[in-house]
Amino acid sequence: MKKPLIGLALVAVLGLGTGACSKDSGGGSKASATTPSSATASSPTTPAATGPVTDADVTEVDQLLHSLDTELGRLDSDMATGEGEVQQ
Amino acid sequence: MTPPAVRKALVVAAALAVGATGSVGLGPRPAGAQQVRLNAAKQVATAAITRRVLALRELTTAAKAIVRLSEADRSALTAQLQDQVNGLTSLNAKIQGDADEATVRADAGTIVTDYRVYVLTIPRARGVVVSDIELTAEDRLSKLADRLQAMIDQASGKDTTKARADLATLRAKLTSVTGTVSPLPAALLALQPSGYPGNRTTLEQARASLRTGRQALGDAATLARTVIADLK
Repeated sequence: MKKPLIGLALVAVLGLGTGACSKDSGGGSKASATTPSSATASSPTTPAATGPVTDADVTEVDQLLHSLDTELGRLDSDMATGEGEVQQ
Repeated sequence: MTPPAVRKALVVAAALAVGATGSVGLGPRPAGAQQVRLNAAKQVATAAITRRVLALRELTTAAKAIVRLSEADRSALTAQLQDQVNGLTSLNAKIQGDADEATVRADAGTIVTDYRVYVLTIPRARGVVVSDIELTAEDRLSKLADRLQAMIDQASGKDTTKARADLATLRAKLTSVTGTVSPLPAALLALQPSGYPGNRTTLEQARASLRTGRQALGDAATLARTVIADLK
């Protein structure tokens, strides 16, 4: 009676959308959490958007570029990954 | 029991068993080791699908957070990701209903050939998300450039020659980012699993363009600091 169990397990994973596969037997990558550009959007400490430009304004852009570097690294990792095994 | 009574009892028991299981046990269902192999093949396929669905869902979340790209691009990306989740979910249901190992293997093969999740869909989606971040950074630096221009214009009595030159270089960097990165989302979204591996080249080129864009953005940020220093 493994068939219903398999289906049930998938439904649980797909339905909840949480948790991770405990075994990555296929060698395929898991997509890493992506940092959207909105994650580095203006915060209460964001420098004023008008007036003289200060180093703090540029530092805010640097933070966005840091997120960008993280995503580019993930892109490199994604592109180095194959599909892995889907059969025994 | 007499022999006829035994036979009758066996018939009743068999009928009850068929009613409970829906089969007589001697039909098409494989038995023993064959059944074990069939179940194992299904488990491997399910695991492969589950990994892909989880990865696609993570990127769907990122795609929904896109801020700079057009609504059409954002919607197209999320729709592509959801279509693959739906397709893989249906495929898994079919695989669980497959009656023999050969069919499971054939269906499992389509996890790769029909979807190309790891080699195409994920890097394609990531490339679109990275494009969004680069264009967002370009927007912010462009606004800083406008403010730096105002600072230069208001710097009466100072020699602003170097500041103007540095700002012009900064703007040229931003122009190059826009020209390089803006076409990428549409080009990436057009890539289809059926075109793999021929369309891998487009992915590689997009990644190179995004690297070029990143370099230009870093240069622009450095130039912004230089202009600030020029005006002190």
